Amino acid sequence: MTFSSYFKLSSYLLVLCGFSALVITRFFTLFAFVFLLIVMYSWNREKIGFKIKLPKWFWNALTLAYFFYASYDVFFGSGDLIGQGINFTVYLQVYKLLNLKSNRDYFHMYILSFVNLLSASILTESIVFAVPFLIYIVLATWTFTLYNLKVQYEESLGKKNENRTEFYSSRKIITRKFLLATSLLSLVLIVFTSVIFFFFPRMSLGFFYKKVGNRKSMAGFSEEIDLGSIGSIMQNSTVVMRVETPNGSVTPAELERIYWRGTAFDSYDGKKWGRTSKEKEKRLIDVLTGAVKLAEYKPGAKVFVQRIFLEPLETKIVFAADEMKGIKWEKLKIERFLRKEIGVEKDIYGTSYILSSLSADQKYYAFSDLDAKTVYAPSNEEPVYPVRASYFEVPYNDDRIAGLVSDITRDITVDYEKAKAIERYLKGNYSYSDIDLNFEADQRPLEGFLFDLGRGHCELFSTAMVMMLRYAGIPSRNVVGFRGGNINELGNYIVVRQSDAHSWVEAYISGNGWMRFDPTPGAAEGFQLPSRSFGVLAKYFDYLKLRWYKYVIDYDLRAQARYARMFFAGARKFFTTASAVKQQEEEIKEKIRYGSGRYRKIFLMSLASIIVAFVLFMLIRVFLRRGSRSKKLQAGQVDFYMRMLKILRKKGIHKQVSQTPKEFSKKVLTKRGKKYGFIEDITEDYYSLRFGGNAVSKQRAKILDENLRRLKEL
Amino acid sequence: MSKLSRRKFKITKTGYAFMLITLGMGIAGLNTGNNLLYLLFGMMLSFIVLSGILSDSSMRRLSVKREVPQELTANAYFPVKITLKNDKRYIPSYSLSVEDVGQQQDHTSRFVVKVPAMGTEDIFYFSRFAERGLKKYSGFKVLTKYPFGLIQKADFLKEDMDVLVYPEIFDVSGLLHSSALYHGEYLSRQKGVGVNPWGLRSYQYGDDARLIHWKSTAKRGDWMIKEFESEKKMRVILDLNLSKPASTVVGYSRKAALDNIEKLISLCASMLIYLVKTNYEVKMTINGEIISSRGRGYITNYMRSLALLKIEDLPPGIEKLESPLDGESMHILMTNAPSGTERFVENLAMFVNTRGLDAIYQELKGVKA
Repeated sequence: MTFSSYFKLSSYLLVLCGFSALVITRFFTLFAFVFLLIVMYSWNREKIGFKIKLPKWFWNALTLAYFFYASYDVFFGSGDLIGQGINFTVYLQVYKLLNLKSNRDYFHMYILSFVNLLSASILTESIVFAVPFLIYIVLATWTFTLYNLKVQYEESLGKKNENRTEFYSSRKIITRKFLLATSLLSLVLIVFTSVIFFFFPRMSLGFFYKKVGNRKSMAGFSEEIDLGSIGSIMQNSTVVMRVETPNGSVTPAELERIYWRGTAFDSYDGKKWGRTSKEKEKRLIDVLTGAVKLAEYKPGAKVFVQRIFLEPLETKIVFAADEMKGIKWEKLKIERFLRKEIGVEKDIYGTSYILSSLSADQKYYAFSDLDAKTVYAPSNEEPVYPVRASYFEVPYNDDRIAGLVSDITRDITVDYEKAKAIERYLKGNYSYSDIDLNFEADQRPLEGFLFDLGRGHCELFSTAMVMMLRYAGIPSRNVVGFRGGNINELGNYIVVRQSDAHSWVEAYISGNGWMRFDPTPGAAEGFQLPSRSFGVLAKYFDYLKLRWYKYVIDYDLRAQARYARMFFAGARKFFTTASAVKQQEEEIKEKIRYGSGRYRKIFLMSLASIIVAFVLFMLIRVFLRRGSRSKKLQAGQVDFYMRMLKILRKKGIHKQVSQTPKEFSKKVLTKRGKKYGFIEDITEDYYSLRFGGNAVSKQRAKILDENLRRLKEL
Repeated sequence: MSKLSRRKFKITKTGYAFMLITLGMGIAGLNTGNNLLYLLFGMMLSFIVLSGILSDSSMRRLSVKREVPQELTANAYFPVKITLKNDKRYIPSYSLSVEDVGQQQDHTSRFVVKVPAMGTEDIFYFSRFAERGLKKYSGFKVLTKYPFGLIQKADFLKEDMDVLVYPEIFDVSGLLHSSALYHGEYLSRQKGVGVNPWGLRSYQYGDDARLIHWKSTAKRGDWMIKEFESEKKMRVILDLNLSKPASTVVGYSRKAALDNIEKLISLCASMLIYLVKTNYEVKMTINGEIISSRGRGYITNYMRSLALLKIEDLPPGIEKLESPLDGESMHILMTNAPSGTERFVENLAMFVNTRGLDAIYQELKGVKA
């Protein structure tokens, strides 16, 4: 390929790469398709007859008009600065693609493609960003190098009218070696980038900044939910959160009994659930511990610690294993100082909401007591219900339900027992179904479920139980959240997906507080909610995703300090004697809470990577050398002649079997002219090696290689 | 061959723009704590750091050598060969602009895509000097913006080289052919081997019997023998008599006076070359001083003298025009002395002074050699 072909190709690929980064964050398919068409047109502009030639004033007017429209929309319309900014950038790119002439145009195009990448970095936190990012580095290395060669060449010519086509159409400038060297350069760039990334001090001042990322909306966690919305999100296998359990892993059986509580509702109008209170109470973090205390632990309670990585969601609900007692952020003091409010808002339904909308705040430690809402302590005291009246309310009086409840709870006096009886009844007499149920238009879903169909999804079960409890005079509420999840053995963490969404019941049991009941059949036995299968590849990808979140997205100054300490401790340890090691180990153990083996591991890993890099370097060197240095040829080594024949065959020159090599070379010369002169030299070498029993010197072999190369280029 | 040393570091316009954006990315990263911005910031910073390292490595252990022809004349293009040598073992040098710095007319830089590791790359170009004299090349300006055009590393390689530029040469055949020199009026004035009759004399023992002139022998009754004019080289003496313009002459007149001196020197050199080429034996005097004609390279001597003739060394005026060499040879006298200056030169084949010099010069320029 010629220099200009390489230049054009890499420039266009860079543009496409920048644009694809944008596409993965926004998924505007039609838009992308049109853009692709324009790129294709621009690429073939010279070849096709049809040319878009619009006068300059038209473009200027159009650009100005579009700019004003975008500004108007930002200030008085949608206010979507990022969106309009992206649209405007893409418009400019289209303009450049249609009017690509000078070096300056190319330069502008590169800047615009970078702006695309930049926009993508603001819009997404997904690991998918890593793909265009890495490709961009490789392409940018190529493109900028070629661009610089072109510019410097033109600058050195000045205004001289020298023939430039020789340079542009040269095939010798961009060789395989050049591309390999440039690709190696991009590898070095990636290493440099990672080093800078990991060592550059992190801060998050948060001035004039509002996270505008692509947050996933999720039905079922808003102010009001329709009956059936949980069922609809269960069809979606998108990951909601990943949970690490620092104090030991969780078995699948244990996991099935973990309820990731979201929010709760108190009022039901027959079709949808809502909340009667909007009261919220702010709980800011304790400056010393960085934690927010939400509830007291019961004496002897076991603390279940979770490190939660929440996917960017529209809702600000703090998800954690039920019952959450505290929350803590790994944030720095300076950040706490600069951003006044870090903490949660807690409503009367036991739901906590994150105060800020920063993505960094969606990674937190949660402390829960898994048994807080399940262990019942009998009480002989007169029941008291210090709760809102709305927890007793039913939307309408239905004699059939009241009758059913009184049948189930006959002879039972204790609230807890009544609740258990209802739970047992629903579990035992109804079946689970995740398909959409069609009730008659005039039929209320609850009655339809209880007396007609006899099957339904978890929301119907929980709604039915809440209503039945209220008929029985027990205050209760409908809770939504997730249940269980999958364990990713690779990283030893829990993955909770939208398909793990679940709905259950909380009833106020006097003397015990709010207690959890789950009337959905199979719930206690660990039934499998219809979550998608977690294939091996998906497991690896998800593991990679968690790493991405932990080490890239969530990487901060604290982590930097920790890794630096670990690295130096490892290095120190590696070079000291065993006794000193032990002593230091103790010291380090005291200082930071990481296992001693880890230091050695990190240091060895660093050392190993250096060795691997060195070996790679040496291998590449050998590879490069092999290409460039011709070896001495021994007698009988006549592959080169076969190579020559192959090259000639490609050019349509065939050697007849009856022809001797000399006859053949003569014929080629007479037919194709003197430019094929070096065939004679090659033939002579062939005779010398094949029949003369001679060896060919290194020098001569080099000339032979050169001759073959020239022959190829003819 | 000299090696490159201290390198000058300059950030290019593109580099400034790039750094500004990088700074912006850094600030945005600090402000938002968005790690992907840090990632982009890291990428951009790496581009800058690598630019610095690679541009430097491109220039390291690089040496440059210049080769020019030995004999140069003013206003004539000559080929120059510049050899770049890369002494690095593994790393090639890329994207180099090389500018030859000197008193020559051509100052554009030449571009080299690559100098392979442990290899050389040659650049050829044509250059010229506008004036005669001892001219200097001071060195090379080598610069690179490799790989990304963000940083420019430049170095000046001092490589002094003095070259002697002879006066401008014209084809003076037309001028000389119209002079008495080529009209056959002048003989070599020497007996010898040839075809033109010179005279008769009495036969002496040893003379070639074939040369006996029978007619006069019969007439005189004594053996007479034919003599011929020698056909060996004719000798021409180029006399250059120049004086420097008086210090009172200023402005345009001074420039014209200096111009005339240069034109006369150039004319003298052109005649020298032409006459030697056409087999004349040429001698040269400058202001009454005989230029040594010893040795085989005597023409070089003459050309050197003409090339190095300094105006400030010329006498302030010329009283009379004369030649220190014998009057038997043909003389071509060139001077910037006023028209009425007395001449004491015999056998003058041509006389050139400032009158009509411009016209001659214009004509010569039309048929530049």
